[in-house]
Amino acid sequence: MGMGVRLYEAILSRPESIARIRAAQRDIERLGGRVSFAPPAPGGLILVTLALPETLTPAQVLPGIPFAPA
Amino acid sequence: MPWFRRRQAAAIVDAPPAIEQDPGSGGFFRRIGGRRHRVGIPYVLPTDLAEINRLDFQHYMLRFALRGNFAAPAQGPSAILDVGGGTGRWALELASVFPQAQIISLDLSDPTAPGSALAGAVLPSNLRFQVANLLEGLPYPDASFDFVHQRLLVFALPLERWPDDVRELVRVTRPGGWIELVEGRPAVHVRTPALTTLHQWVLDFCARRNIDPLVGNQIGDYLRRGGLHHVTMREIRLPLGRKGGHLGTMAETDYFSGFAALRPILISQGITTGEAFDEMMRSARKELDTGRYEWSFYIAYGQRTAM
Repeated sequence: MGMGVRLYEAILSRPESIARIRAAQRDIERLGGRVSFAPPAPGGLILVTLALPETLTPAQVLPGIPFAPA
Repeated sequence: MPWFRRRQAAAIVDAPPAIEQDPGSGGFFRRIGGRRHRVGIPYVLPTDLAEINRLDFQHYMLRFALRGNFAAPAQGPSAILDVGGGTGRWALELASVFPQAQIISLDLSDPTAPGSALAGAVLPSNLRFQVANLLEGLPYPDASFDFVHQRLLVFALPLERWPDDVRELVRVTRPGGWIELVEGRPAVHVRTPALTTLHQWVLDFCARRNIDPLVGNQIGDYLRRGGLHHVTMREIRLPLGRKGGHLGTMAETDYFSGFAALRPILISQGITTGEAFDEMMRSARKELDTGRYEWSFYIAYGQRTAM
């Protein structure tokens, strides 16, 4: 049976947050995770979804980015 | 097809309901038992019309109970920031009190968007609403404001984020400027059986998001630890229940509306059932009729050291 995946989400508006996530995307995928970005909403907020193996937490792969469990 | 449905090996644990996007504000939401919750933040309460009404009611109740909109000795500020401004009522009123000041109200949605609290309202020219997530830090340069206000975010800020939050408030405050925090604290000292059960359910759910609704009485300490001077904290005890007269009835209405707002998500999280919740609500209301109870709010303010 495959390892479970947990979903986390963050609503972000700062370009530096998005840039950090994009920079970490390959490393996250190497660890078995995935990142997806929704198109920006009015006001500039972007919904970022992070899927991680149950053994990892957002704080381990993207410390400081305010992800919340979906 | 979303990527996570293509990989059989990666089963999603506790897959959440689908996300919808509000056509007016553009915000992202999930419907849980008929209430609309914003996604991507730890905030536990819904964001929908019923909650807008509760927050506005709470605003007027607090203004009445606290005899005003703020307590800090802010003298003629020229720039004011309201963090987590919600429906925008506080900022709208401050814009009239301080017509010479530029006021920014920051939150995850613009309350003037279609379908929102201030949609269609004629706004004063000195008021602006900014959409941002305060958990990312405040999008302003250092020392931008003379008066920074933050109210009722205990259900939005994870416990470990409070020091960061206050650090950001201090950073954007000008030397000599004031920061004011206002928070309520659930009446967990009322040890009647049904109310205690309701409180425990809420605390259990909040704990899953690292949120501690009981930190309200510590806001003065957070300001002191943030390096502010002349920190003052006041406790305001509101009567809770009909025996407390008009204000007690208002407070009871707000208090139980808050519980009701959490009913669907408590059920969806498996913390209680609809039947048990409804029974506890009925019993808790009766309990409040048997005695005189109180609900505490805290106002803390402090000044950033002048250069």
